Amino acid sequence: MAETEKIYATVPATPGAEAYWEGAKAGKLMVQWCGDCKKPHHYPRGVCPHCMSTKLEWREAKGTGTIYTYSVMHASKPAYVIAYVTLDEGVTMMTNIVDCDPAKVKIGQKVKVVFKPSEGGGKLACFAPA
Amino acid sequence: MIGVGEANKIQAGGVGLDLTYSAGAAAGKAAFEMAGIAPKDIKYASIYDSFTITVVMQLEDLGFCKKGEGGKFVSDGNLISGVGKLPFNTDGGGLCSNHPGNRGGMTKVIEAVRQARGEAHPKVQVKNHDLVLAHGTGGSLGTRHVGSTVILERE
Repeated sequence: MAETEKIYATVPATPGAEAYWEGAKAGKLMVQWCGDCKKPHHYPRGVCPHCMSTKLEWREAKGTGTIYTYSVMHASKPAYVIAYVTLDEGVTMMTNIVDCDPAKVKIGQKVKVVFKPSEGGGKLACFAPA
Repeated sequence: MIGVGEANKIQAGGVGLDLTYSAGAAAGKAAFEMAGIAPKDIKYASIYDSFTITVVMQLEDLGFCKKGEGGKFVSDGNLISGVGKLPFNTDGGGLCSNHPGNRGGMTKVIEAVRQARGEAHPKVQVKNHDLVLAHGTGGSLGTRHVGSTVILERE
């Protein structure tokens, strides 16, 4: 019997992050880069956290990365995995590791983005073993 | 009060994120520098104990033991008054005494002052109590938080 797919809570788009959520809906993982200091950052926002510039641009990430650290929430049934994933572009984002056995998740594991449904028709970037 | 330190730690845009240390590393360093003493001089410490990992990380970040050795430092009994090197949270801490909402730091200062004055419970009062420390962490260790350290000296 197929499990019912988990529907994530909706995360309201904060000002400056609209393109991130629109990208997710279209199956694209969008990362902000600074046009002045040329560094990426995540989470998305209106001002570069490295140099305070407001000259920001969006680029689609490759969608691949490595697990920096994780924790398994056993109290939830079924258990789920919360993690920090470092994208190949160099930014680390908080996310869930999905479509795998939580007991087999490892630090340093290669993962790829998958988009899971959230309430109201949105999508949330999660990661699965690559 | 002979030393104080405050610091914050953020995700820094997610570039170079390092969860192996907390804001306590900078707050503690500032407080010890101002006081002109070293962690080994502290006779009692109140450390905010929101979670097990919080205390272990603060023990390391404040310099009471080396990075990565906090677990061993605790399991060796070092936090037990009358037994270990660093009697700790002798009021019972957040689990066994109280946790007053966002004012958790104040109970840490209160017990540190009791110890410095020699007014702690006789069963846990530290004999030599010339230098004591209180330290708090606020926010979320994994995302953004602040650390505050105060060092008190008995006159």
